[in-house]
Amino acid sequence: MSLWLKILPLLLSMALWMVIVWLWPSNTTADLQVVAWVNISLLFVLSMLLFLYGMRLWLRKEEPRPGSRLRAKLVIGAVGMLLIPAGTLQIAANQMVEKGMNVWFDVRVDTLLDRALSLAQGFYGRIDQDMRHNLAQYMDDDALLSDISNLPGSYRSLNARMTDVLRREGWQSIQLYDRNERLVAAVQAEGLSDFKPEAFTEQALVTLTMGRISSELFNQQNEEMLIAYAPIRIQQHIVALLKVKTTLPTDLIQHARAVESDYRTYKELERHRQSISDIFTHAMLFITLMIVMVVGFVAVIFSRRLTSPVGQLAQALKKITDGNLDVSIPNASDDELGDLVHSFNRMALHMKQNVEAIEKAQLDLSDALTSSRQRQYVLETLLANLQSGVLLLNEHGEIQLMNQSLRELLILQPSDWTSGRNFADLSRGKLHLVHDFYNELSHQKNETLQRELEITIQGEKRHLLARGARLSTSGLSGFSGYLLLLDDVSQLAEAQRHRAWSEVAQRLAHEIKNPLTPIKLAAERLQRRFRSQVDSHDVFDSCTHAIIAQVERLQRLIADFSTLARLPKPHCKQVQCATFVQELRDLYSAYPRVRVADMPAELSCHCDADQIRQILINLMENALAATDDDQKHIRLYLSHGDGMVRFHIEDDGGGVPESVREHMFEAYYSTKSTGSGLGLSIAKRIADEHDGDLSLISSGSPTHFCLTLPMQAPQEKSTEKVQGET
Amino acid sequence: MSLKQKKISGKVCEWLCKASLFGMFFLFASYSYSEELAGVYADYSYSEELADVSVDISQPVIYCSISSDIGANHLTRALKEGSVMAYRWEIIIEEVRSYWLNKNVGNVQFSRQVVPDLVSKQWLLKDSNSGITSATLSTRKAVSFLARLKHFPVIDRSLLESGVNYTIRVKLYVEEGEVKAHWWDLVTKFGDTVAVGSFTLP
Repeated sequence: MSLWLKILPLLLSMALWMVIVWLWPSNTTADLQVVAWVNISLLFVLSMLLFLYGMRLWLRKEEPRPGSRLRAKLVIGAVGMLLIPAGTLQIAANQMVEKGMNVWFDVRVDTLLDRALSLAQGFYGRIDQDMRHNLAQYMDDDALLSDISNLPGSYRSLNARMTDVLRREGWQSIQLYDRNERLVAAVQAEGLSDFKPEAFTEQALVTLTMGRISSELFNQQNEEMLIAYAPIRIQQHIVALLKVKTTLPTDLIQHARAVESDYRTYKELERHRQSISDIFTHAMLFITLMIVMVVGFVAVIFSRRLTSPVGQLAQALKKITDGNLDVSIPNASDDELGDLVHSFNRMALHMKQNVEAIEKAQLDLSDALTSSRQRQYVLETLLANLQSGVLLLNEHGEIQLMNQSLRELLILQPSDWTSGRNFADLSRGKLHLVHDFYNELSHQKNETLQRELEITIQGEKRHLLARGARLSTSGLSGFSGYLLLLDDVSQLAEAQRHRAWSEVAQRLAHEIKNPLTPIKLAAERLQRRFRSQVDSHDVFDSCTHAIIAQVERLQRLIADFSTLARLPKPHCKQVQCATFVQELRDLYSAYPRVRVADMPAELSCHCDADQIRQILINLMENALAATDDDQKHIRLYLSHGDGMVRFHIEDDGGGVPESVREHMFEAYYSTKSTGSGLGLSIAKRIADEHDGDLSLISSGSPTHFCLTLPMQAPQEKSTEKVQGET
Repeated sequence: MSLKQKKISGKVCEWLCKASLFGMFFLFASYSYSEELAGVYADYSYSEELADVSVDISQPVIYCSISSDIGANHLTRALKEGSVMAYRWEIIIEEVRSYWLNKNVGNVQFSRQVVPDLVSKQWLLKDSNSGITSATLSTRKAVSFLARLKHFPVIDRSLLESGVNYTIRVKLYVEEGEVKAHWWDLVTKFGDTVAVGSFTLP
């Protein structure tokens, strides 16, 4: 709420207080204060209501109720629209009253009333003066005084004289009292039949006391009578009181009293001129206040009825904002606001239905997402544990997904091979065959493609089986691209090749071995039977020996072939390594350049002793062949760790050329003219079948071969590992 | 009773309580303020300053007198212009207490009225205390009859204690025109304190 609306009630309250102080009634207009006090009360109540309302607005922290601001503005507008004409009307009316006052209390009216009152007073004064004057004459009338002094003897004469005066002066009655207030004589115009003596008034007593003529007015039966008193002195002594009564002319005295009443009223009004103006102002203010209060009350009721739907709408909107869609506004009127309420109800209903549908869809989506995440988890787990390298490319050839096996297979740099990178840019160079495969897949018409690739990675040839598939956009995912699967089939190829060679070797050995023995026997028979018959024993011996030697070489060669083809399964058991060392020391004790290091007696390995002995002898033979000089040494020593025993054989021979190193463990590869090329190949195969390894650590200075064997059987090893972890 | 009805009745009770409190406050404030105004503006209305009250404590009955006429100018004009004027006097005797409101000991009220007769130029003097009615031709006498207290008996001396300070406060209710008693006079007419005095019995 704006600051202006907040402080407006307080400002109005202060203004009303100022008006109260300004209008506080003065005590001079006590009779006219009721309206003023009523106004003060109304103003006070209004100011207090405004003050309380303003303080409530000022102290309120929370947001006002919906529609209250609109209601306040409507009430302020209604009262404001009323106050302007009402104030103007009041000011104009006050001006008119002020001008009317000036006309009413004009000095000419004042003068006129003064003169009228003077006339009335003059009329009365004239009668009074005449009566006093006549009485004064009769007070000094000697005949009258004589009759009074001679009473009661002169009563008849006195009565006749008084009757004569009454008739002559036109008075109503003449009464004569003595000093003791006793009626002495009386005459009356109407006769004495209904005459009643009256007690002395204060004025009569004053006359008797003071000895002066006095008069007074007396009202009787809508008539005003003038009563005059005259003391009767005889010899300077007041002996009697003469009371004369005359009725004033009714018409004239009514006029005189009317003039007096008007004069009094006029003067009172003139004296209370300011009060009249004030009471008019207060009356007008009272009417204005009543109208303002009534209008304000009506405005409040009207604005409440008008803004009630707005407030309900705002509250309903707040509920909807808070998430409560079960909202409906009842009691809609038949006007535009009612239409708005109906529209709102329809909107809320539709919104509720839509939200319910959205929630249902969200639930379905959530389930689908959960399922998708589960599938993704399964897929990622599958991809992570899959031995095959998986690469997913989009239709632009950008990497979308690849697994760890692919990275390990192709030895990829993780920093380069990231999602979003272009596969074509990354696969140039050593991986160009893979790129070519991708190009072929992307340009061919078939959906799938399978090729065998042989690539060299870090000097090692790898035989890969590449399979590709095009992912079309017809699927639900809307994704199109290519899926490449690369499998390392080097070992499989090697195995196949080895198997093929084995079969060939078996066949060759079988086919060749059979005629060799008869050839050798035949050659030895020739040597025994026909040596004496030939002329040249040397040539004969040379030829037969050559035949026998070559046959024996062929037999050994065939034996190696047979061994390679039918290498028996190793019969492993725990063998003390010292046994091998001791045997080799004994075997090569004749060669001083062979140095066999001592080793712990308890060190053992899990192997077939015959096959391992064959490997060690083969390696020692190679070393001896490489070192034909006793200055060059051959060292045999052992090391162990990580559950493996390593037999190290070093020699200071000429070393192994780099060109030989790559192929030295391949079958039928030999640099010796008499070698079959199967020695190291068989040794390597034996080591592999023992879950060990035979490797060339160093190709020269010294030449260093290492035979690695497990210290324990694989099952025992795993059992011990589990026990150790437990 | 439903919750809505309870709320409405609660609101009505709240507003009634507030209105009652405001009404009481308003009456109290009005009365206090009028008392205050009466003291301050009494001179403006009827006299130049607070008149002196002379208290006669030498007799069995306490008498008080006010030497000057209260509101003589206004009264003279009103009487000459024929308005009926009435002065209702209220004489309040209070025991002075240091730390509390003064204790009311006695309260005397009486009224006097002058009815002018402009035609005969005489004034009818009516005393409600004695019931005596008289007439006079002297304006000055009529004014003094209304606006001055002469040796007026206030309270019996036996009701007062020796050595105790008492204040005597004279309030005046001036009424112009015919005297009419209204029920609202209680809350709309507060009178003017025109004289204040104090005395202590030996």
